[in-house]
Amino acid sequence: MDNRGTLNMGTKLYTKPNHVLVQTVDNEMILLNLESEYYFALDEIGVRFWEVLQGIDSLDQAIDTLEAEYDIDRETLRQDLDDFLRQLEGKGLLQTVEPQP
Amino acid sequence: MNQLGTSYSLSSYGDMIRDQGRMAPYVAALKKAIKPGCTVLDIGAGTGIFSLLACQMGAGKAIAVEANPAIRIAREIAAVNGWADKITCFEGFSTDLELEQPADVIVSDLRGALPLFKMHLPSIIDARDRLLAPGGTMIPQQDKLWAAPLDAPTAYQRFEQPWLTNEYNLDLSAVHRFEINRWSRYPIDPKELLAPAQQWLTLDYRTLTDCNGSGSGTWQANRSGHLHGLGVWFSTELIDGIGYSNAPDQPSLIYGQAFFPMPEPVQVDSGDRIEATLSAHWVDQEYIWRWQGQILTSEGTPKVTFDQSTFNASLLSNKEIQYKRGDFVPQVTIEVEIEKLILTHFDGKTPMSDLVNCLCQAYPERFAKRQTALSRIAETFKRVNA
Repeated sequence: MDNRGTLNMGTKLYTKPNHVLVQTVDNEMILLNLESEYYFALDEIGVRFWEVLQGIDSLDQAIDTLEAEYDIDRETLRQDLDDFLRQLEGKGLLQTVEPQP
Repeated sequence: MNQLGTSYSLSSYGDMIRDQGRMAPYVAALKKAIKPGCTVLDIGAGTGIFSLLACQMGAGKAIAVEANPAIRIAREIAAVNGWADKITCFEGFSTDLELEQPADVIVSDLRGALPLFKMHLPSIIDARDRLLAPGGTMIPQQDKLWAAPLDAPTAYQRFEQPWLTNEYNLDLSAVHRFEINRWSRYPIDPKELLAPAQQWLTLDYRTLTDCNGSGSGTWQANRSGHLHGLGVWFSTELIDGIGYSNAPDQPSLIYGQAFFPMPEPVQVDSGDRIEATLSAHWVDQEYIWRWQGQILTSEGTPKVTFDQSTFNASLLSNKEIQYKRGDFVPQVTIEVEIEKLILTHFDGKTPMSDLVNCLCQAYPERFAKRQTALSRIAETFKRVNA
């Protein structure tokens, strides 16, 4: 994600909606969707996923970084990241936007 | 319902009554609204001043609603003034009140420094929709919220010290990122304004349905200086043409004004533009404030952006917010078991001594002393009967 919170996933662009607030303290992340009043917490691994997803252009880049940190194969990592993004999207904490031409 | 809005002391009710800038317009508004024999609902009555005045002006009935124990004194005051039969005191929240006949007038002042404060809006919306007669009068009718950019080093000092500068040569800056997400009360000096105030929100209590509030403003600095934050205040129209303003250039009122800090002071030049959106979201019985925007040069070049929220003003933890999460599954803990046991024995038959025995036998390690069990039972009793 760039500093506007946008992550280019090749076919999909994810962005943090403006109505989502984020606080990170002590390896935990708390997110609040102001519209749904839904709170969400990320544990240490979730926080690391979120961090790695900042400032990258593709899921492969994130997988490269995480593969070096965790003893997990690429396919599992891909699945975990995909689940992670879907979960956040499902809670309205990330949204997909159309890629700019 | 929790204890929101019940924390005032008796002397603070005295301060409110002494504040003539506030009281005189309220008295004038009541005079205008009250017809002989009408019913007045006084929400957040404190020691009952508006109910007493309403009766003095000819109201047939007043219902004084207050969650603070001060309402018990209101009963005494009503009797002393000869209106024991006209004033009904309800200790609790208006959201829990039922009326046989709706009120002709609802009067309240549940604001803090700003009208978006604790239970104010949820209470007023509920009362208007459930407890006001058709065509009845709301006092206040509407509040307007104002904001202006400030060059206010004094206001900013408490956000910088001791976190960015201190006499101990320690780096305490980690706290600063929380502190700048907190707004505080601050008596604004009109000389601190970098640009004329803009109105950014109107709350019309006659029609309002949303407890959230949001609005934007654009200010052009009319002098150079340092932008330390936004000053925010309100003006009110209690009833047609009668009201008051809490603006910095007006005589000061009990509410004070609010200061929303910038992440750091920003040097601005005359002609620079300050764009900001302020919002307050009612989430889980508290307001989450947010102020975001940017500062641009007179040519339109962005200098600084900011995005702050009271969400980031206090430390949150997963443990603390877990009950707010929709996917959280509460587990059975020993505290849950104890609570269940206590509640089962609140049956109208079991005396306290038996319940204490029961608790001490079931959890001998937790309740080695009878007094500990008694305190635990009392705690549950008070909570469920609050």
